[in-house]
Amino acid sequence: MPFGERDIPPFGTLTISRSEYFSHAANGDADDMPILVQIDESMKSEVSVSDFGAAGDGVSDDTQAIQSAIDYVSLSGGGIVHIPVGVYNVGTLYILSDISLLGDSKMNTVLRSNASSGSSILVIEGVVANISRLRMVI
Amino acid sequence: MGYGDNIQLSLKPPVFISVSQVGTAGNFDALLNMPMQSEDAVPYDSDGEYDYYISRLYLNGEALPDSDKWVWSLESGMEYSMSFAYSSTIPAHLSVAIIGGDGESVQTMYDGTISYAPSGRVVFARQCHSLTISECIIEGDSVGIDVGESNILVSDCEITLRNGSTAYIVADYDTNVTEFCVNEHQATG
Repeated sequence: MPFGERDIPPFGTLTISRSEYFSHAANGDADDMPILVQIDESMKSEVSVSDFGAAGDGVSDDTQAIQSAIDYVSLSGGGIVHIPVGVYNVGTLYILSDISLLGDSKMNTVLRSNASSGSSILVIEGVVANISRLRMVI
Repeated sequence: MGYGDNIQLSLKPPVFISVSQVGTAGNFDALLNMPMQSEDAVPYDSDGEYDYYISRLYLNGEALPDSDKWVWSLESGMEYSMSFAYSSTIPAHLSVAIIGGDGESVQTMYDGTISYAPSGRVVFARQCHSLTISECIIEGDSVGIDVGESNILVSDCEITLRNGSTAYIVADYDTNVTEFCVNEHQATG
């Protein structure tokens, strides 16, 4: 969420996660930052696969984009990967650390296998994970 | 001599053409190509009639057990295959070395990672302390959810399978499965 959409006191303190801080800093949003930014290590990251280039148009191969979003959150210590409504053609996605994979709609957020071999859509190993509001189709 | 020993010998390591999963049991075939070698390449040994070299595969820097293969010719462009097993779902880096009489060549990394992607399972989970799947629609051919050594809660989900399969949720040993409001049915039409 851009800082501009958040209720920030002009000279107050904004508490955000570490990954969110770095994400905004990398995007050049420093001018929008309040004077004091407090990083709360207990706050988990939340990203959208759209920010990582996933198209969800039913045509593009979104495997790499969604996997990059998962890996990003994993490296940040866990959090939420948000998937907007759309049809995402994917190969196998690997969840190897604690994350929540949350879609917008049980019916209309679709992960559709593009593998001719019918390989798994989600492979999850050794983690605490939450998968919600997704339609997964082989 | 092992992985990461960045020595330059007369031997040039093979290059990967492809790595493909064979079947569903975590078996892979690597197809390799031999580059042009210099004339001073020293053979690993001889079987009495022909000289040979050793081709060796590494996963994450560890030599794969029993992966060594005798290579009889270093003719440029020669293709050969090596089979190996890798059953973990964790992606791993694959590399290869060629070994001659004066040591092991620098290794060539496979451009990508390999991992066992079981086919026919929409969701495949192992060793998850807590896995929750909620408000999802799962559509597949043979298995909806394949879970092992885990605690899993499946709630408010619909699982639809084709081809007559009824393996909606398959639980391996040492697995606790809790289901709430899970509708399981066959695809129609």
